[in-house]
Amino acid sequence: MSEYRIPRLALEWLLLTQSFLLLPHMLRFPVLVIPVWLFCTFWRLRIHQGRWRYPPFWVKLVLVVSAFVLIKLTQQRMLSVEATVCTLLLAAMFKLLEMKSRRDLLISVYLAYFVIVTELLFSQTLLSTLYMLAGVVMVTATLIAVHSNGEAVQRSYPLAQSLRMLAFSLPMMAVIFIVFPRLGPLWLVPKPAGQGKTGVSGEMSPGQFTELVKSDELAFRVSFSGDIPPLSSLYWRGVVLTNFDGRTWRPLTETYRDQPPLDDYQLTGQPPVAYHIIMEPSQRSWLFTLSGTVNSDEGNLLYARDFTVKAPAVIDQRMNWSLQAYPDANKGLEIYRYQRNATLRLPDGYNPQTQQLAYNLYQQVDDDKAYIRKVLAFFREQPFYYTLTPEALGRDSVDDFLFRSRRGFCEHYASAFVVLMREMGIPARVIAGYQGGDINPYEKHVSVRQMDAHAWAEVWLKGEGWVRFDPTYAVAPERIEQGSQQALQQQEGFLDDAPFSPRRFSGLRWLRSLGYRYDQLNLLWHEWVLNYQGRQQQNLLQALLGEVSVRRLVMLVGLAFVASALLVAGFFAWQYRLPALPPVEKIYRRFTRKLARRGLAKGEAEGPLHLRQRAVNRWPEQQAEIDTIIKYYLQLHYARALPAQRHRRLLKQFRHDVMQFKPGKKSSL
Amino acid sequence: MAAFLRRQYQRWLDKRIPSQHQIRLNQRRLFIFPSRQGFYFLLVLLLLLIAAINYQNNLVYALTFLLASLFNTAILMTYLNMSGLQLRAGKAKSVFAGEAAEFEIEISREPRKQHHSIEFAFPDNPMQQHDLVQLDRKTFGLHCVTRKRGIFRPGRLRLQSFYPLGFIRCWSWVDLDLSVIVYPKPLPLLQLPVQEGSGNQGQPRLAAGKEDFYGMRQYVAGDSLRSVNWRSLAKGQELQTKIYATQMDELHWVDWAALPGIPTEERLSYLCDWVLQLDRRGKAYGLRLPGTDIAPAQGDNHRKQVLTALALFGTGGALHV
Repeated sequence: MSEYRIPRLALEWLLLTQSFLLLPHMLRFPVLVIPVWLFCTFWRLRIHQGRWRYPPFWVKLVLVVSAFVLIKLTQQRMLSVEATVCTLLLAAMFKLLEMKSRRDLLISVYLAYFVIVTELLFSQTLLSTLYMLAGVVMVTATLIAVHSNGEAVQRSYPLAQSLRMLAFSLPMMAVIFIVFPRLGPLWLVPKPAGQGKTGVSGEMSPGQFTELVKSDELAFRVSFSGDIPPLSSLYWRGVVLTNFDGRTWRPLTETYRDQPPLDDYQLTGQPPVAYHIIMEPSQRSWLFTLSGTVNSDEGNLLYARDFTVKAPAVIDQRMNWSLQAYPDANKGLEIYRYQRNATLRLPDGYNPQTQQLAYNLYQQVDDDKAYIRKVLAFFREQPFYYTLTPEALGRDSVDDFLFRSRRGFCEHYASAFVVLMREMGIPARVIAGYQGGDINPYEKHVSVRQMDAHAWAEVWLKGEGWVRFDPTYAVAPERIEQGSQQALQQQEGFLDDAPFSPRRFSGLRWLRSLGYRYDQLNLLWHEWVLNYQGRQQQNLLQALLGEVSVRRLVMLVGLAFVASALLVAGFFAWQYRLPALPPVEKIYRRFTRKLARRGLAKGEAEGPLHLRQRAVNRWPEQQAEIDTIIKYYLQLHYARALPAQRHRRLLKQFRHDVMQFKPGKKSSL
Repeated sequence: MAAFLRRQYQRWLDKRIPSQHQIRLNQRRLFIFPSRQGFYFLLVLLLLLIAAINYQNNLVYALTFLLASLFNTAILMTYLNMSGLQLRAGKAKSVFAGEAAEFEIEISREPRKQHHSIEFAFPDNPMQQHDLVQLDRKTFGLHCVTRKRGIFRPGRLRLQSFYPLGFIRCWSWVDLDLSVIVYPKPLPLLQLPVQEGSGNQGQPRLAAGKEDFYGMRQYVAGDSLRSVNWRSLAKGQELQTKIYATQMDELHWVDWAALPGIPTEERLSYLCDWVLQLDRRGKAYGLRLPGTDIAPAQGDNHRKQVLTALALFGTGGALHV
């Protein structure tokens, strides 16, 4: 095998494609990857120019060892998806330094396809999908560049050819995508942990929710079968926090069953609210549900006696459920003993001032409900501030908040409220979840983002069961009535982590509208592409084929096969078609064909005058006709500069005469 | 068994693609199958599919299917890149056995069609790659190493292309009915044999000496290029040939009988060298082979005629130059 020199066209395309594909990864991986990439690319270019040699063994060794150290230092686990992808990227870069043969070059190109896969594992939004589609076009162009002669074609030629080939491939891909059965995982694989790191967590301590509202990351979307209920009634229950140690709230250990605790509900006869929730990956298993959610069509959810709902496994990718809720039902009219004990317990020796306040307030009223009203009035009337920048609180956090700082976010109010309840022997607990959301006017759905995170309280009242109270509402009713965005956007710290979020600039209507449109597109994208499987696939196939049978599926794929072949063949037929003859030549060809049919075939290079002579010899009685036709032809063919009108008239006469001409039969005219 | 199969394959090939001076590639003459790279790519596709299934990721499914469809498109495109190409056999120059013969081949295309990266080679000979992208036709010389003297037929020419993606190999075995006369491989003759009964008397001179310059005459096609007076051409005069006095009186016979007791092939090789030595020195010479006599003469055409006679001796091949 002779020395193979990587063609310039191929190298240029490879380097361009690599940088295009690495770009989105750069944001995700350690910064040190960038200098490594620049180093490898630069060295490769020098090799190509013939200035530098291939790196010696020790340089490669240093590179590989330092790469592993880099991964080890920056990634928690060596076998996580992030670490694997980082290794793949570094391998793709290092390959540049030892790419000598055509085979090496092709390995680099194939690696690039894998880089695209890894990007798709991390992000599946519409934008990143389009970006990666462009990536596929470029990798394919590189492959074409490898197999083309750089001297014969233009630099951009591979791109045009790649676009063409991928366009030919799209119909068949679409059909396979629709038809191919979706199987369960063959074995368990580590999932990328990049998503859903923020979110309502399993515990609550002061300051946690103010962190969440810095982000406009989507938590989940909900679409309703009927009208969307008012935002102020949309309390998305997530975690029930019962145990309090003076600072942090944690959930009570509950038993989860696969049946909802229907005995604990007392329905009011109102029709249920049906809704569909699409959870973004949260890395936790809680669902955020409306109060009184009792049913799901999937039947694989877990329910606890504190009315929380869990997915059977950690939600590490977008998942969705159809649910039904009875928000008006009474819940837990009979309180369980263990719940009662736990929801009354307070840590000893904490918050003495709060205890005193509770006694004082309770003394002014005569029953529990009046006491609750009193406490809410206390929040409303005293100078409390609803703020994203509360002060740090001391050991007796509730005392500190109620009597000193008086500046707090939802978790402060919920926490203080529940402590005040428990001091007077009223069972109460904190609920962490989300409140409200953003209604997308183009599609009937509500997007709930991290900035909608909220905490409120539930109090158990005799004869009514668990009843929701939101002390934040007493302090900042606009938070509940208008949503977090309206209430918080002037506040420092709001959406700090999302500097370009369209939600920061809600004054710009068009931007907001654009945001809604994109959101809606993403939802359709999710519903029809990302989540296309199972029943949806069944339904679509049923609609397309009438009946889902192997025979019809095979026919459909065969049809796609034929369609794409026709597409290619059609394109080539069009591209390689012979140039259309000018009208004069077409008519003349008609004339020569007439002669040929009567046995006087025109010679390959026979001129019109010679043909005329032979024709006249054969049919002397038609000499006049033949002469006219030939005269017209000579005029039209050779005299190009005829005035347009005259040209048209001549052409018309020429066509007429040729049509009338019948060799061997003298025209009656 | 293998030999039998190969023979059957050759017979089938001869029937399917009969030898012709001019040929146009079409579906009858083109074969197509995934290349090794193509199988690697299918392996990549399998890995992608497993990733899609394990990660339950519809976009990875979509990518897998897109690339699978691309593979399918590549089959058609690879075929279309080859089909319609026309080949025509051109001239071929005679060589000595063991040298590579060069066959001229002309490729041409139909209007607007493009042919990329097509490789041409005779089996076991170096490959050449050609395109018809901007040009409508192109002529190139393709080499094939010869072994024996006689009429050499390189046999089938292999054309193949992996364009555009390398996944698919489309190839054909084309027989352009090529042939060339291969002269015997010259074996150095240290001493020219002593000749008896030849036209001139006495022993021929063995050492190369300066002959006496006799004069000039007008160039006649076929004169040895060595005796052309290039200086006169440089002066802008018409081409002239130098004539040496010795050529007029010294006639040499390259004689089969002069080298007795040597096996035929070797003998022809020595005779060939003899001819070349005489030609180099600008002598007039004739050839005597059993059954063939060529009268003494000089010049390129004469040399060709003599060498051809040597090449075809005993092969039954017709003598045509």
